[in-house]
Amino acid sequence: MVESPPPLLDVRDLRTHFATDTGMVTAVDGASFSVPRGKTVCVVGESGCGKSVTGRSILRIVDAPGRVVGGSILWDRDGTGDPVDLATLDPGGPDIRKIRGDEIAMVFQEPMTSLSPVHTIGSQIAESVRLHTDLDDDAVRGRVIEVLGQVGMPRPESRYDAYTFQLSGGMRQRAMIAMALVCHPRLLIADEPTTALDVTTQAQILRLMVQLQAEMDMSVLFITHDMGVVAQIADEVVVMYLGTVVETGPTEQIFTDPRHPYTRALLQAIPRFGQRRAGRALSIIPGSVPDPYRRPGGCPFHPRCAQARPGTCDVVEPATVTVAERRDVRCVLAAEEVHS
Amino acid sequence: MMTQFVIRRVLYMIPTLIAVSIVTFLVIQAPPGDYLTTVVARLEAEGQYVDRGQLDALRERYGLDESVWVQYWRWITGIVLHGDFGQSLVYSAPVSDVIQERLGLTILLSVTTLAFVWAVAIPIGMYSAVRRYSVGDYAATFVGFIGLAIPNFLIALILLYVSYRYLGQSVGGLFSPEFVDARWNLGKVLDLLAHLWIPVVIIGTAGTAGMIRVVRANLLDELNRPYVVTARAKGLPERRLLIKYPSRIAASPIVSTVGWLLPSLISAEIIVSVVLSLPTTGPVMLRALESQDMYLAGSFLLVLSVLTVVGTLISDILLARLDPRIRYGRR
Ligand SMILES: Nc1ncnc2c1ncn2[C@@H]1O[C@H](COP(=O)(O)OP(=O)(O)OP(=O)(O)O)[C@@H](O)[C@H]1O
Ligand code: SF4
Ligand SMILES: [Mg+2]
Repeated sequence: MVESPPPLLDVRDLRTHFATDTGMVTAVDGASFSVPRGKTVCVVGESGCGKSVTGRSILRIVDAPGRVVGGSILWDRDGTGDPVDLATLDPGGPDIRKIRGDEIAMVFQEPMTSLSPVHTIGSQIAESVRLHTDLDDDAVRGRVIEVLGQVGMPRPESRYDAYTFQLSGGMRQRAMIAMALVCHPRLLIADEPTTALDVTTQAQILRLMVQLQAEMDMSVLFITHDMGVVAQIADEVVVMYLGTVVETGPTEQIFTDPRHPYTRALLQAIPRFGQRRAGRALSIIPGSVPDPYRRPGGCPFHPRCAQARPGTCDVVEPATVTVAERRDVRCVLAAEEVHS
Repeated sequence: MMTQFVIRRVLYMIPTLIAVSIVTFLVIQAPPGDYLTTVVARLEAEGQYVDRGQLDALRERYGLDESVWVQYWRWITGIVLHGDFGQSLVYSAPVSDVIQERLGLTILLSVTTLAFVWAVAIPIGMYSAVRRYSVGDYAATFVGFIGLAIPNFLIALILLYVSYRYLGQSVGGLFSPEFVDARWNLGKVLDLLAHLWIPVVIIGTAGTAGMIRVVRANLLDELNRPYVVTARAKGLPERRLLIKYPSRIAASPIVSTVGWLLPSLISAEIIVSVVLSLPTTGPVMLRALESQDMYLAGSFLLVLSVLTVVGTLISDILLARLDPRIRYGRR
């Protein structure tokens, strides 16, 4: 067996908390997963489970009063085995700023509100290039027009001077993707980039992202709650529940052999007949997501778990066990299988 | 696009100006009896001789025997074509002579006050928003509420006392006695500046306190918007980010206040000017209204209204520069 190279990104026991006026929100509470080079990893889970906060924690752009309070975010850009721990950097300091937009870029859900309404898209994309390169004005402009063409923006020269309100939703999201890709990042974090778009445009944007990922040989951390999207684009899956990662593994294994009761419930919640908008149906899982201020003790899933064991699951936090290569499960049942 | 917008906006101004002038004319006409009746009554009350020939000339001049529209037409063309605002009763002089210098000082006072309000309120408001709930924010809030709560005349008295007691400056007015009737020279300008700050602070304090709240609230609204997070995710340093993105968008509602801030400053100016006996339009306006000197009062009204319309035009043009959606008629 070939020794696999160190992952591009390795998140260990990440904790991001919001000290709000009404109490502490443990949005991410001990999440661990990694992103291999050149692969697409999908993060899935119900609304509010901490997917977005996890993505933002990596770039250290969590909104106040949120703070990364624990764990490590190991960023190994060149595979030297000597990673930078992003979790220890000052979120307002120059070190993380050099990485943002250059080595790790992000695409957000709402292209309308995520782009400035009063600046042209060209100037917003160019800003990234100016920050991270020494190119002169003409070269910057050329680079921006080139990347606009790459993301399939028609007539990129004239679209340089367009404002967001002059573009359709799909074109705005292409501009957003162009902005993220213009400095050729090693990792693209995409936070539900297609959720706000209509179905046809969704499919186009997804195809575009798959194609660009291959062309540019970058890794993608794709956040979604749509299992249909996962099946379509993911190499690996990270399943999150209440701020924790409950299961990770290669996409095919997750779909054919889910080990965690929550993953199974997620998969059962997908409607048949190939209906794609599966994410909407996730609430079919019995019970509802607990109040973020009062996380249940023991296994966070135990109030809704059909296989929960009283006396164990509601008392002890289950350990994360590695059941196969790149395959972790956080459940007592999986732990017993491995030990027996 | 911008030029088109400005031309369109200037054209829109014309009907507004006509409406303003009609309203002003109606105000002039409002007191019972015509202008000459008032003149005659006044002269007779003072036991003066009334010259028939002079009265007839005035009657002819203002078209008092003709329809109201002819009167309006004579009045407005006199103003627009000859700068003739009519005759002031109280001062027995052409209105234009009475208001000219005072109007200049009023505009100077108002514009300086506006600059003072912005220069103080914008940095403090921005600081308060960015460092929300910090000691500095609470201090700004506290001082701001005090500024809003203390009446202008009290600030006036305090400042007068301070400037008289500790700065040894003459109290009230915009000039020291030796400069009042002097011609304009460097000394007079410096003397004016030395006096100007007192009314500026008095008139501007309440506005500054209010503006701090407005700036803070507007910026807070924008600070956590997704486009700010996007800019941060590009690696933009916080300070540049603040100036370039949220501040630019938060500035729009503030710029749009220029238009109506001017009249409110001018009305605040009336009271303060009376208290401080400033040679601005305020006291004259008050006197004109008291004594029904309608051409004088009406002229003030007209000029100040026109200034407000112009102020609105300026703020609209600034807004369009700030926000392309306005230029393209999307908002
Ligand atoms: N600014 C904030 N202040 C307080 N709590 C927050 C803040 N942002 C997120 N949270 C909390 O953190 C938790 C995780 O939120 P997050 O946005 O990561 O969920 P998500 O998995 O992305 O959900 P969705 O699918 O709806 O986007 C939620 O309970 C949310 O209430
Ligand atoms: S640990 Fe217990 S409660 Fe949690 S998922 Fe496994 S069986 Fe269910
Ligand atoms: Mg989210």
